[in-house]
Amino acid sequence: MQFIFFLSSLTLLISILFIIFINDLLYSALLLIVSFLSTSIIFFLLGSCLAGFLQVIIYSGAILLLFVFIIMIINKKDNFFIIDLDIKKFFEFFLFFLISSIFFVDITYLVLKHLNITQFYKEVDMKRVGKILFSDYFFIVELSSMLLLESLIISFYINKDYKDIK
Amino acid sequence: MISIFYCFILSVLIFSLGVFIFFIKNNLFLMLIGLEIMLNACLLLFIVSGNYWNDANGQIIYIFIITSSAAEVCVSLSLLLKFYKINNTLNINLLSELKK
Repeated sequence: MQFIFFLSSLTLLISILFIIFINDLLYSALLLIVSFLSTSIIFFLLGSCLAGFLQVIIYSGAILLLFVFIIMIINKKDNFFIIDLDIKKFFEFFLFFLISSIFFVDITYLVLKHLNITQFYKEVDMKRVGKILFSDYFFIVELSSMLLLESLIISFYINKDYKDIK
Repeated sequence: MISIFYCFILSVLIFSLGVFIFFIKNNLFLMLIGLEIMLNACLLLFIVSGNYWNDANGQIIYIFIITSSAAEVCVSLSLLLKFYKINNTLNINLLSELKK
């Protein structure tokens, strides 16, 4: 089990590293799909089946499909996305790496102080999640459906052609 | 069994790589990909901490974040298409000038 976890995390990190060094938009979108699928494997291993299913269905099925469609619409052949490796950008990266590592040290300190680390994961079943989702959080589910409709309307109005009106 | 440490280390590594992509690329599309990677790291942290305490609220927060992410991607990709139709490029250094 641990071996599968390390293997999937290795594929995740390698696919994200290849996004940095590859010079093709379509390949970077496909590598993003690979990284999301390996994340869903980690979710299944941890015992949260609903999150794994949603990761496969929504993220790598619906959202990444939008990315691939946009690449097909753009169809840009020029090499306009050259990586510029400045020293200043590397400095910014190390600054943010420092910030995230401080965050990591903070979390590990909290976990070490208060919790037993060798405790096993327990499976959170789907039925419990669904019961809580449609009883306590029912209003937020309705609000999220309204949010999706709103985003559809906004994207429709952004891409509308106003030449015919004038 | 999988320790919670490995998940934390993995999440922080993914987050820092997403920040790296966001800062080093000058293409608008790849910056969006970096944003998605950072969101993925946060989702992993939510799921891990929710399962550790045997709490269902982690997965519920996951569902709401994934919904907002879908809305965000929809609007930002339509904006990107409009930018590309007007300026014929996706370079962020050219797009950042509001008025020439």
